[in-house]
Amino acid sequence: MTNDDLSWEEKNQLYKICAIPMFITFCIFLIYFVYLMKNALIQTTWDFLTNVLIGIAIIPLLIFALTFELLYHQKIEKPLKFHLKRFGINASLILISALSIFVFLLFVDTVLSPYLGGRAILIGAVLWTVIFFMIVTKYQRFLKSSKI
Amino acid sequence: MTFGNDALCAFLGMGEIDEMLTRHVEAVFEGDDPCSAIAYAFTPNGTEYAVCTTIQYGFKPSSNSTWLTVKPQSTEIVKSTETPEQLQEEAEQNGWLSTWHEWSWWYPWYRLHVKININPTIDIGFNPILPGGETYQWEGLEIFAEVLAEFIEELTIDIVMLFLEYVLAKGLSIVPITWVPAAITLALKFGTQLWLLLNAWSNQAKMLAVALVNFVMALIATRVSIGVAFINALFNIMYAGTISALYKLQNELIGAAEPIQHVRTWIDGVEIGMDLSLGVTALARFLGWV
Repeated sequence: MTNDDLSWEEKNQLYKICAIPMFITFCIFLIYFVYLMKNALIQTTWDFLTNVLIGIAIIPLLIFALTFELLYHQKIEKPLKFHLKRFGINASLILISALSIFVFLLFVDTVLSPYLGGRAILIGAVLWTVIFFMIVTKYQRFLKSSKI
Repeated sequence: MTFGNDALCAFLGMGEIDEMLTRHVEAVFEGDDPCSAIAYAFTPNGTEYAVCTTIQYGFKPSSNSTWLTVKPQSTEIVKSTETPEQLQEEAEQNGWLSTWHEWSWWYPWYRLHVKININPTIDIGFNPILPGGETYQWEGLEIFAEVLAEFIEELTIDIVMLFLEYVLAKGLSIVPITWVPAAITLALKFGTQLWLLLNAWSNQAKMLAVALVNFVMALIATRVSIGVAFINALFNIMYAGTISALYKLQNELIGAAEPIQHVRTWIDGVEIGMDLSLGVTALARFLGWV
């Protein structure tokens, strides 16, 4: 996973290409969101979490990861197992992150909303970002040091 | 001016205009009797024939004069120009212009408020000596005040999000350990923006504010200086004094994020795209299209 055969510029170029399908997925979610709102299908925070946020936290990122592995595979000659392993680790990370934010925001919404008001979920999201960032950074450093 | 047969020559006298708007009109008639003048000659056998024919007017000059009195169509009388002091006094007496004084413990400690009570009522507060700290209040244009208040709130949230995103995600993108935290942060930002959109869905002022904020954030993502210039222009016009603290904070935050904008990464593209798409959605909702 940390075997960098490509330069940063080359990787950045790949990232830029991967961002296109990711952004298209965002737009699809936005259209879906407008559809839900127009038909009054989102009434509670729970509806928003289950119908929109969990999907946004998983699907565009998985598409990004998949596109990147495909492009990366074309750039460097590595066995398929290598890419599958990378994709598996990234996908797990995404799922864990999505699940953790789901649980965290649910906790914030049910427990802290009476005290923090309508912005509780926003504060919770920011807190979760900081915590998750720290965890992921340490995890990546661990991976790098363990030569996985 | 003189005309011939039955011609009227009228001179409107430039006499002095009195209260009755009287004009002295003089009509001059010159000649009213045309006749034909023919010169005859005779042949040797005595036959008469005309050698020339012309029209000749008689010369009987006559003139008459009269006084016409015209009834004015309007009784308004234009007065002579008033001095600014007189105009101010008149405006104050009418009640549409007033001043009041505001004292405070904090900067700028004193504000002179000029209140113009037309529809809407505009109240401008300023310190004649110390710069900054001006206040503008528009009563009767509550929609603007509400939009502005929402705009400031949304902008504050977005700036915090932007700051977090740039520091957390973009820093990782420049020194890429992995793209995952950056992408997760982006997804989270998008989710949070949708959450804000959800909260503002049934509030027209909020929706307009969300649209404006997203467009501003897209500008900032495109180039920091454009966004800052836009915010400067907007706030200077509408609410400069009130948000001065926020304005300074925002500049500092953006200033902190600016150095890492020298490198354009994939995050920039997604950021700009997300902000624009959300801005368009909010604007469409505001206009009632969705």
